[in-house]
Amino acid sequence: MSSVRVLTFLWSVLVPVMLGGCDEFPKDPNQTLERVRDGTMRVGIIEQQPWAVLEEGRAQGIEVDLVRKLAESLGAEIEWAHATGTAALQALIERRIDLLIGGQTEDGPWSTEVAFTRPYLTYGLVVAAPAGAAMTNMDGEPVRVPPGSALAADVEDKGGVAVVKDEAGVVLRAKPVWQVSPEEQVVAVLRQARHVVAVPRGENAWLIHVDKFFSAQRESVWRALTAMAEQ
Amino acid sequence: MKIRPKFEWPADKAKAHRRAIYLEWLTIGWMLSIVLVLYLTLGNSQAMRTAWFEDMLGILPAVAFLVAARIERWPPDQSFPFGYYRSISIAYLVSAAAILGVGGYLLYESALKLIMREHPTIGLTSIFGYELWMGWLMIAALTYSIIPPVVLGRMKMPVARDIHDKVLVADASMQKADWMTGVAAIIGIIGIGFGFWWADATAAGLISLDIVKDGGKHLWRAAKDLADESPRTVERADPHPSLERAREAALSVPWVKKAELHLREEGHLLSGSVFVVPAGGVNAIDRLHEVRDAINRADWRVHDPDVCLVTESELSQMPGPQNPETGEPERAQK
Repeated sequence: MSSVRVLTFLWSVLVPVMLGGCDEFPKDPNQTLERVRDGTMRVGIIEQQPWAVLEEGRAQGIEVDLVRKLAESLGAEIEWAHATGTAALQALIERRIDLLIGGQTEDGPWSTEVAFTRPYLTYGLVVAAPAGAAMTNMDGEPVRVPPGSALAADVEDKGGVAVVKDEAGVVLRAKPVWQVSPEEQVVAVLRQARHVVAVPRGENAWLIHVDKFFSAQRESVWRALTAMAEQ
Repeated sequence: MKIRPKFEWPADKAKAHRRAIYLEWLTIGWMLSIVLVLYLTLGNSQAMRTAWFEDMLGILPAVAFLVAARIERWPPDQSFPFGYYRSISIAYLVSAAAILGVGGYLLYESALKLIMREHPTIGLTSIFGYELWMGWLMIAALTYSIIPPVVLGRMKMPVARDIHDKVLVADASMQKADWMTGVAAIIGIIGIGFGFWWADATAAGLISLDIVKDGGKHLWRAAKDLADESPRTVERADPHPSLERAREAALSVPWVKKAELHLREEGHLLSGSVFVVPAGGVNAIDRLHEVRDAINRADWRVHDPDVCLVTESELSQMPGPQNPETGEPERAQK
């Protein structure tokens, strides 16, 4: 069969389908959005403060609140997955859950196995000096970073010395910009954190719905973060 | 060492050749712009990456043509006494391999996607402050990518036939591959939009079979040209008419009683040996150049053939051109 004939055949199949109703475009291959609407939304979490954590088996955090709002807008019940962390990720890859949250960023290592939304929240991760420290850079200075954080490498790359414990004389702190108080001084920008949430690959209608919902929450998330920092 | 005279294009063919060079520069310009547009729209979509990679490979025949066209012009020298005319045949081989490579890569990618049941993800994008399904943007870019190959491919074929340029034929074939892949990708994206995750890979896979077939065909032909197959027309249907024209020209020399010849391709040119049986009582050695001159006048492509004197009985043992499939003797239409 010649290719021209194949193309003609595909056209003749697709065009009637196309004319046959464009209520929702693109559609999901596995009808996730349709199923979740007035149904059940299966959600997994990667535990990370302040985005999503389990406290006595109950999910809490900024993204958890957003997911509850999303479920409400869709008239859906939430079924929280038992698994967290990489097990939850595996569940998403195998399509046993519909949504994975927990402070994931766009540069996460599994971007080829799951589908990320566009970043719904972007901010800088910076090094801040306390008021009156009179520092303009972190060259050769010790910088306190959260234990197990990738920020340690960023600090070292940019000339600082990463430390994980509070010691005498360590005044610089690596932290998200929303934790920087007005008195503090930003001496270096380490990287941008671009927050995303993940859905199974190829569920394009679902992806777009979640994407639009989270994008619309940027302001309220920002307010929640700054309020949290002030406490 | 005797060095061969340099080939000069007849005026009308030189004009066609210049047009071919112009078309190939145009092709490179357009294809680069397509590569850029696709690069800007592909984001992290695997489907578009394939189309992009393919368009990059698609420039190869045009580049091979231009490089070979330049080398071909070098006059024959001590190291290459026959000249550099075969660079065209080598460029044809390179182009054919590129087509096969494109087809093979596409086939591999789409088969892999189907086997892995990969569900292509196409989300939202923002353009000028509007939110838009990325698929529409991809379709727009792909539409742009299929127009120049269709137009250029059609412009190239008549020129290719005129100057018997097989690199140009291969390049036209590559452009057919380009636009067909573009159409397949558009159908694939629309299919994805309707929730058929397999649409993209299936459309690409079917098209790739055609491209592999084309590439294989050209590769085989290029190999046969380099192995000195008796020249045939660009589409390979018939023995090349130059064969018969050259034989007629040799026979038109008054003292030539019988003539037979074998020729091979050297890029645009045909060269080889002409065997003539002289009529009795003629000082044939002194008049051999008359045969060469007659052939040169009769056909621009037959360049600097060796003219050999043979006896009638020797000539009778040489078969004329044969049809490669049937083995039957055949003569081209005049």
